[in-house]
Amino acid sequence: MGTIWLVEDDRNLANFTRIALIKKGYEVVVFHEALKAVEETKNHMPDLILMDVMLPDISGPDAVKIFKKDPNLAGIPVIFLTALLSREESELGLTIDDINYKTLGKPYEIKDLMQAIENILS
Amino acid sequence: MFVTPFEDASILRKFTIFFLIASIVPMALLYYIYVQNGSGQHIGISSVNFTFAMVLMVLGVLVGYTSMRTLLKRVVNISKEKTAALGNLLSPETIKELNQGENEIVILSRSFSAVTQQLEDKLKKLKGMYELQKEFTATVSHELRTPLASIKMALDLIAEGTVGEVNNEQKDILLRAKQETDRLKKLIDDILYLSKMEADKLQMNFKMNDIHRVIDPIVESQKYVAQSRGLYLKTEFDPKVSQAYFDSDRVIQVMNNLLSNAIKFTKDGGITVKTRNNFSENCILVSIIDTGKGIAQADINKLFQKFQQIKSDQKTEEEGTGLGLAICQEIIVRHNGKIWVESKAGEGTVFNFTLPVQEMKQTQISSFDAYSHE
Repeated sequence: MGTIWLVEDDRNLANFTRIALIKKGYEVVVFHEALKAVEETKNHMPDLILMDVMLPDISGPDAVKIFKKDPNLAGIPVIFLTALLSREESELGLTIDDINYKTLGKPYEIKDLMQAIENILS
Repeated sequence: MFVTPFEDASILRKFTIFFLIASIVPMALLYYIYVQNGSGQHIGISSVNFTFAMVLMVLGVLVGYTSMRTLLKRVVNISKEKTAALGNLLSPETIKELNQGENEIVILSRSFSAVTQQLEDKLKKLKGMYELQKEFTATVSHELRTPLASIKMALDLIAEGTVGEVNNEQKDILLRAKQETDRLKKLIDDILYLSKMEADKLQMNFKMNDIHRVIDPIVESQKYVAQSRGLYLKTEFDPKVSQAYFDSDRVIQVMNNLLSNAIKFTKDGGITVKTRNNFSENCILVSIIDTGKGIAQADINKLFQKFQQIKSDQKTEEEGTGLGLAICQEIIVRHNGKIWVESKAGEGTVFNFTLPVQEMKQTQISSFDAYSHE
């Protein structure tokens, strides 16, 4: 099915999302800080990253900028999860350096999250 | 309205006449004397002219000085009045300090620079408040939506049987709890939306649009809801009405809100959506007319206030957030339009709103636009 990295600082939300993803058959690694995920790319590579926007160390978009600078990491697909935009507002997606990313506004539906992941990984 | 000292035309006129008499006439006479002398003519009469010219000149200087003093005093007085009218921008100590001193010009220049400084400080403060408001919205947004996302996710996981089997009764309870989280989510979205609108942070996409083309699909989609309740939903579009200057997404939002309210509060009959031109006010008028139970006068006055809701008779109805009409009003006002309601209890209700038919100037939309965009 694939390995998904979930970068989310809210412990409960990270845990519930992890459970939902595992039940669907994905392998999940949770990070509560963006830089830890950046660091981990030296050892492993995910198939997809679910990235929160407001994180305690650096923001999700800033972490993605770091990935994009590294040719080995630039191709990793990213879905943003954000509490800054409503579900309707997030439909347009976040744009960073002219690249538009699929974005889900919190609170998101499990089915919307699964659909977004399937669209990228299938 | 700003009044300049020169609006008092009589002073200006008097000053001009005195200036002519006091300066130009003696100058002309002196020139005449000089020419007479140069040509070697007799200068007997010229000495009389010379004395006369000198007297006029001294008189002119005196009159000119008095006029200037009067004018300057007026300027300083008006400046003081206007300074005071600006709303205590300057402290009494500052005003006292400003008024002490050498002469009117110094007082005037000090007064202007003090007011400029105060305005700059106010603007800085306002910008600071705007930044604070921006931060507040982001924090509220994050702090409210994140725990809500956890609750919703947990309820979803249990209700869908992801973490173990649930019986029908448990499922029903969980679904009701989930509906409540949806209501809470809608409320947070509405509060933040309204706060963004009020702070002028919401970008509007104004352009010329065909109003019927925008409204028609919404009416069609709501027709099914109306029909499922045994109500009609029809349009009476004026074919002469077409283009107006508006943000179509926002107007769709207004129409959806007004139509779903009309359906919610109508038991028998139905709803008619009408359009017509209002040439005298350079706008188009859209009316949503229902045959519902109407609204009492006391409730009409509260209708567009936040968190004011008129209770629906239908118990199964999904409750609103009490912000829908406040949002509609903000949207229409941002279009320089008007929104109002006509109703009598028992006689149905008409919601009207207007949209401009011509492009608006940006300054008409918002005075905050200069620093409202991120």
